[in-house]
Amino acid sequence: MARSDPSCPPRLGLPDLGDGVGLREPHFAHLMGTDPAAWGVDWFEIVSENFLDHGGYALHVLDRVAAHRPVVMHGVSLSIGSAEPLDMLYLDKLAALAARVKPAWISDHLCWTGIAGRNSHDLLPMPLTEASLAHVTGRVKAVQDRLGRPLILENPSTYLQFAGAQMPEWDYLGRLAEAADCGLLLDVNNVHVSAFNHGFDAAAYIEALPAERIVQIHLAGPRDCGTHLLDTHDSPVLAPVWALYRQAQALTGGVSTLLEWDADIPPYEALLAELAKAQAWREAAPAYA
Amino acid sequence: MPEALAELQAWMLDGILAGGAEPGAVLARIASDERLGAEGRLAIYAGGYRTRLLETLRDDFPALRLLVGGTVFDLFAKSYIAAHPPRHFSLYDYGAGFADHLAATRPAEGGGPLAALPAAVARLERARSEVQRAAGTERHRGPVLMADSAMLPGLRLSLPDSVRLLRLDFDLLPLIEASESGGEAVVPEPGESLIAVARSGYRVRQHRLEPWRHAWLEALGPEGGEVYGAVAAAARRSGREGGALLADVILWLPTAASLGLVVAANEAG
Repeated sequence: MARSDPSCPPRLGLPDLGDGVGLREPHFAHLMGTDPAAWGVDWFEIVSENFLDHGGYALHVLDRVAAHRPVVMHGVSLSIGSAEPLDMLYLDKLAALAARVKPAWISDHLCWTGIAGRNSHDLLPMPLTEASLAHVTGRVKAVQDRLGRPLILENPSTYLQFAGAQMPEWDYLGRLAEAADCGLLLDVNNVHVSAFNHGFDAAAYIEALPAERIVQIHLAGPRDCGTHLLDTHDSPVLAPVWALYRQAQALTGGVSTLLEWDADIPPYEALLAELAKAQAWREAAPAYA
Repeated sequence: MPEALAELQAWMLDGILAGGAEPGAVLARIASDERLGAEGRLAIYAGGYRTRLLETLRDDFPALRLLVGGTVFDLFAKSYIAAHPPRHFSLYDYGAGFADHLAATRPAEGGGPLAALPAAVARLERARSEVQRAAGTERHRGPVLMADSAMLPGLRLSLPDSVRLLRLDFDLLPLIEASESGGEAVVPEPGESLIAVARSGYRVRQHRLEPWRHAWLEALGPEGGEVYGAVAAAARRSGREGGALLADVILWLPTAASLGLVVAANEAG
């Protein structure tokens, strides 16, 4: 059952921005030296932390990009699932950046990054229990109150699951989204990675999510490490991931697409060529409903 | 705070920081299957943690890596990672303590004067990183500082956030230039080196300074100071006669401003 709340508008009422890429330093020179009309993308996503406390060239580039295209702020440090108190200083900085960039939305991950003052700088998995769900729901509401907008949460790639799980991740995400009235960023590559690593059905995962709360889709390429897949963002999107993308676009009726590429970053034109495949896969989508 | 969640997360983070070597109780809490056991799954996170921090330090300290080579650099970095788990939400903050760590862990005996070199290089490279990200002078639209600006009564000047003044025991500029241009390592010569790292037009540069210029900028500081007062302080520190130093400041001021070293105090970033 894809649509679980008929009263919730598609994408929480947020726009379908089209096809975008991550704003990354290797492409700054190209973007600054090219007419925005020739940028070849509908929107950009930034990693929020790359611009917090920044007053240098990167911010200068971001100002130009934001003047010509919608921008989404995608964070990695919110640590929404941590047992320690929310970092209000971080939230203040996030809010200040949002006031400057005026993003279409702000996203982060369903994860925790640290505890007791120590930070792993990784997206660590949540125990999928009723207690942690209640804990995260309260924190999402608090963040939304502080930012004055819905938070969009992404499913991370995971490499371990805690014993004693009381529900699968798709149930956890769907219930969280509805209880906290937040949105979902569906990373179809992460679904593929986690499905391989834990042995679940990726298509069933996507099918089970509340489609109306999916605001955005992430695409990326993983690395095959033999015993597991690693979410590396350093290669083209795999065929099975494109199939999941097509499924998700059909279920949602169309949401913003973002191609992530964070290591071994190719030239801008090559990035656009990979992104162009998204349209081809959408147009190949069968009637799904 | 939910105690069970806090306990679980502390266990897992302990396991990650220990490199999976002593994960203790957390292993019993991790589901495993025939393909990958609990220890192997935790090791993926432990390995990713070290790799991420190591790559961050490699990116932030390229000149030090060029100087000492990849193997030695990684020994330095792994020592730092083991002693200093990240505590800030931004990875850009992580290298802030690297120079102090290298200084504190240098061999107590032997090594000669070059034993202090890694910390000095790290200090300069950290300053460059900070200047790169700081609020600079590019967006300011204050008055252009001319030579005669220094004679305006009560004029206060300050150092923008994008300036770092350093007093180093080596001439590191040839090494930095080699690192930036992809050249071969240059072993720095020992000797006092007064440096300002500053940004202009979004480009970070290092400037060798004569003692009186370094002293004058230091006297102005980020809080700002009145030109004549800073000249008097610089004269005392450098041993120069005040009137001559003031004349040199007047002549140097337009250049200093164009290099992003000083701004009118009310426009400091």
